[in-house]
Amino acid sequence: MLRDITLGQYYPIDSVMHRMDPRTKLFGTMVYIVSLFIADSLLVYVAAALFLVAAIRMSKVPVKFMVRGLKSIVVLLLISVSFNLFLTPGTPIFKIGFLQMTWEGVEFAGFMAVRLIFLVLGSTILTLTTTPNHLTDGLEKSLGFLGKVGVPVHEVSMMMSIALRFIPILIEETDKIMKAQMARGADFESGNLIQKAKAMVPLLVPLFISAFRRATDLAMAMEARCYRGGDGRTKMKPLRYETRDRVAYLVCFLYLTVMIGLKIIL
Amino acid sequence: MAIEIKKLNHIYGQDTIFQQYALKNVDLTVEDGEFIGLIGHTGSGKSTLTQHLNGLLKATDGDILYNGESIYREGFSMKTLRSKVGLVFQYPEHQLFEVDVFSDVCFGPKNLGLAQDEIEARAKEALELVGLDESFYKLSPFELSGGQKRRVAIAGVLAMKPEVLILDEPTAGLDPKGRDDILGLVAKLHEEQKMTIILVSHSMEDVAKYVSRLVVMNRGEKVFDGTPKEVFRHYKELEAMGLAAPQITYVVQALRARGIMISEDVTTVEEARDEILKLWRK
Amino acid sequence: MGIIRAVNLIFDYIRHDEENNKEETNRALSGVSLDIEEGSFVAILGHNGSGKSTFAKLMNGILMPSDGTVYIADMKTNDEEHLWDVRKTAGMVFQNPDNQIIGNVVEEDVGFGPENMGVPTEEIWERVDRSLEAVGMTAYRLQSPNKLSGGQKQRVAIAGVMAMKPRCIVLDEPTAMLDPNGRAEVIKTIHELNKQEGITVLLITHYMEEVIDADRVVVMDGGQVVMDGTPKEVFSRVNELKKYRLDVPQVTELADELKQAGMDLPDGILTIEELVDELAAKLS
Repeated sequence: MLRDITLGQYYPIDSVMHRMDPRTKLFGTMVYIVSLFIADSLLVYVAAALFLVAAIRMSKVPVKFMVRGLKSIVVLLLISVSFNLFLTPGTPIFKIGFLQMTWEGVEFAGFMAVRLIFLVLGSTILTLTTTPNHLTDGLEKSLGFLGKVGVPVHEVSMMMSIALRFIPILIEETDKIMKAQMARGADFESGNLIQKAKAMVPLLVPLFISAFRRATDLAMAMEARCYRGGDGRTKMKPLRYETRDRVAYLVCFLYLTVMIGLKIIL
Repeated sequence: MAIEIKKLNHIYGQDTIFQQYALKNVDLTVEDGEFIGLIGHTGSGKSTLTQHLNGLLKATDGDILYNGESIYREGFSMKTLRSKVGLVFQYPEHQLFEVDVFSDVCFGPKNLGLAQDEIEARAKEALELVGLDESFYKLSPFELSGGQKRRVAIAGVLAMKPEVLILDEPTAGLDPKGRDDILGLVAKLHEEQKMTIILVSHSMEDVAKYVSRLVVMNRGEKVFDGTPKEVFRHYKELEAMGLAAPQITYVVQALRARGIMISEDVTTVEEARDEILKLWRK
Repeated sequence: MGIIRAVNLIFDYIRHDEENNKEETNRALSGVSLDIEEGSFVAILGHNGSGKSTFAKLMNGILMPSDGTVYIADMKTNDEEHLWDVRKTAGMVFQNPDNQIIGNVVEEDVGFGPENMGVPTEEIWERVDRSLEAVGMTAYRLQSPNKLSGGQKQRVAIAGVMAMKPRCIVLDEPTAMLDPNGRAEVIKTIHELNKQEGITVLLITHYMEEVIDADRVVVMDGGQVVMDGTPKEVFSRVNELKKYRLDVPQVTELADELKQAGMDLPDGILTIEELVDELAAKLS
């Protein structure tokens, strides 16, 4: 069940996009998101679409695989589209009871849907081409400046990376606990919401106890290997910008300038 | 017969490139009152097989008959099956959750929808069977030793009054004394309660003393099935599968290779002692 | 003087009630002294609750003694300023293979220790390459630890400790959660490290088969050292071992029973070959 989520799962192939520094990709994603939010006319959307297609081509991830990831946002998409369709004031097309659809609504909903799809596709390129470790490293380095104002950047990124390591282990453990309790006649499926919630207790208690135990063990193992926070730590794989990253930054700046330019002119 | 497994297959990731047989054409009949050791190393399919026996996993194809009735027949109650075929998992930590030992053992019978006094009577009986007296009833299961936790976990399944008891690696992580205690307890359940028992293990040496029949699994297939003596004769093949026969088997075979004709049927320390002394005194 | 010296170690587990008052004191170690020579392979045996795991955790400052002192390469473990040097010198491998691997990729996990120690990037790579080679896991360096078998995970954990270039490794029941294949794999690796790299090994276990090749076997019971000697010396006392709730390898037990029945066999037979040689001579 949890294993079926394809949205943003790392896609292990080799491409220029895969080899790019995670900071570059983070920056690119940010630029793209900003550009989507300032976009308000057809031409600007076309420019955004071109940028997206180019990025997808460079990542070499099959389009089919990316589109499959969109399934998970269908509900969100439908909700936002219908809200926009019916709640935007303007020239009415038709009216059913208190619901009124307007021309402005149709236009707005259309743009909204495109914007959302672009947004999701754009940010999945980041996660599809960057290993979780790399992403955490990139975040830690990019947000390093926050450390100066007291945000525990290193600790947070270490926590993220440990979480990534233990999620599959805990999923497997959940499966084992469920089976052990089902062997004792536990029923996780039938009954109303309250009964279902109550049925979770025999699953959650062993799971939490195990998670705490693992956390204690892990803390001990980390200490035994001389871990004492981020200070004085060196990196096995330090992040280094290459030519492709410099080019990418340039392209991103150009793109943003064009988008802002288009917005001002149009 | 209690359980009859017919041409059972379990395939992971069918029709993908990852397709893999977890179980391949397994045939096995378990008679009432048998004490079977199910042996194989990690990934041999032994645990997968046991989870089919109480319906936790469903076979890709093949059939399982419980007391002559197919468990895959429409309308067959999995809940009843699970109370009749009790399965104790490897780690007691995966099932203990209640505030005290007694309530935890009550969980199984409660799920069967029994009356409160019946539930409590069963819990008391089960705890007595595993050798935990009243002083344990109100203790938190999390404060017990490894061996005691394991006893509570077994009691939790016994309280459902199963006819067949399957234990998956019940001695993993226990020290030698704890291991002997648990195996002794299982043997007692078999003798006194006349329960059918399937003991899953990766150690031949541990179970050989207790069981009357060994079933060896390798790569999802059943490779050997017979008395320990019969199975240990294949010690070379067992070794190739990464399952060592007991040391005594090697001693016997090495002596025979040197022309000392000690019986091949010798598998335990006691038997070896008696046979060797007989030869020596001659 | 040895690389590890424990002098009169006492350790109490103290349980506190809700108001943080002392509720219960549990003495896990009561006066353990041990001197371990550099380069040796020492096994510590004992049943669960004998104090052996507590002893292990005192060796690199994970726990601090309630009384007595541990010296690692002449540094006191409870000396604040030496704590990190102690941990660098005495590496530790734990029981549960899953709960000690931090990295999401094998090679990154092995590099974790050196990263913490502030080793320069290039040298980290050298150390990682060498450590993975030493435990025979080079082929798996880019894999996720979750895809490995138990024995392989423990070898990665050992590589992670090796990369810190310790002088000794303390292994706290590293095989308790493994199947026979994994167990053999790990024990073989430790022996190789001991022989080829000259690393002092302190192996804590309750499996007899794992200690017969050790240089020295120490048996603990009730928080004290009760037996100490070569495997031959220790295993010749079969009844005593059984009293401490420990197993004896089947061949040792058989030899002991035959001796009691009057056969003239040497003490402390540990391997199948030894027993077969002796018996063949007597019976043919």
